[in-house]
Amino acid sequence: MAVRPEYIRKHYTIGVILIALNITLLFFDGTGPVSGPVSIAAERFAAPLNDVLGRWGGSVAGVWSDYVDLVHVRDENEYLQQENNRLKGRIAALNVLALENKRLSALLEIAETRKDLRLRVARVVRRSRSRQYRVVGLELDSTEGVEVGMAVVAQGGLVGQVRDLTDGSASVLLVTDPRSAVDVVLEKSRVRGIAVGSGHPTEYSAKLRYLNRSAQIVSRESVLTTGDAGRFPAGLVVGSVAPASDTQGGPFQDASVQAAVDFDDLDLVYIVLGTTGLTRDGEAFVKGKK
Amino acid sequence: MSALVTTLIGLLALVLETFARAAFGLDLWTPPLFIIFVLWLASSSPKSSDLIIVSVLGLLADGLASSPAGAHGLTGLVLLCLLPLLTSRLQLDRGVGAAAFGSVGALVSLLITAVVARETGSSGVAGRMGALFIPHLVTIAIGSPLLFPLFDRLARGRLRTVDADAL
Repeated sequence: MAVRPEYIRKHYTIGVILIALNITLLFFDGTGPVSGPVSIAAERFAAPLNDVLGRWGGSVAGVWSDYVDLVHVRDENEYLQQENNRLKGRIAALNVLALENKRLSALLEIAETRKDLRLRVARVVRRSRSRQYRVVGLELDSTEGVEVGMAVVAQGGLVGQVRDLTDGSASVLLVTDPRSAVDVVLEKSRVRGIAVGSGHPTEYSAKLRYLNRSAQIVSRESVLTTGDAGRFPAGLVVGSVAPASDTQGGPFQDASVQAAVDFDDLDLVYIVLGTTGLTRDGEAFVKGKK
Repeated sequence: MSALVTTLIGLLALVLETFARAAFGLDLWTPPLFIIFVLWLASSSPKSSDLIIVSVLGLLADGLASSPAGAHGLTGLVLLCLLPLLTSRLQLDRGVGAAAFGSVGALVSLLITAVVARETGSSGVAGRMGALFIPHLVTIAIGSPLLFPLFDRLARGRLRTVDADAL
């Protein structure tokens, strides 16, 4: 490429002068530890523009930063939502376990307080759909040792008695079934009677029959099995006398019994196979049973 | 193209460079738009007034970047004096030619920056030269073919000529 002399004269001469000027500026103004007057003047001159652009740039950086934060928040939100769902599932599982634990603890408490009884655990697997007849089905590994008529207990007290047995299952007639009749005694007044299932369609209750009319029944006192005839062990809670007891004419009076067992929540029960020969607390043998 | 338009385009480059530094929090390195502006001037038969414009805008660039007075101007002037010699050998209308032109300009500017940093005792800049080399080179090599047409459009009347007679 040929460079024309006139261009060198006009263009490069100015260029060289300006380059020399800038080099001079650099070495006389910018080499010291402190900025020279020209550098300071240039900075001061540019300061307003620098400030404005810095603010605008800062705003853009803030918007970008906010956007990035928002994206992170969205991701975090999705993660937390998943974590929340997972934890909800975990809580539900733990609640089931806690309930199971509570039921097992309650069953264990029965076993601890009634060491005079031989007990066998069974799970309730079905319920009667009849509004009047109250029967539940138990699942059994085997029916060995289980007989018809054996008492069934759960947390709270007496559930009923084994009604029939089939392979791997048993039907239990609840104390609230009208076909059920249990010899009972009131805990405080010691009045005897028979608890007959009411067959009430909406509640689990029984009627107390053949109570001596002269007896003073205490409201809400517990109704216990007598243990007569050996079918039901003595001292099992059937329920409590309802406040509004029904009385009829004649030598006897009737009353209502509110069942002690929560039949709606029935899950694990004990079948009473017999007695152990021990006292209730297991501290000693019952006389004649050793 | 009038000197005013050239000055405005140079100012725009400086503004964008400073804005990018603030917007993206770039402390160590900013897109060298001022250098690309100078390369654009150098690529299209610079006039004497361009030398003065680059010198003045270089001083403003020094103020905006808090660099020693004369640093940007010196780099720009050297580029503006040397690189027109390349324009007849490269087809700057094509992307590859502009990229090659930008690469040479980037290398020259880095060399000048290194010399200036060494002589003025700007140890921070001198220490970063190794790290700045690749981004500086790549940005200018890519930015030149992209921004030259944009600057051309802004300048409107300014046509890039590769006619050696202009020199």
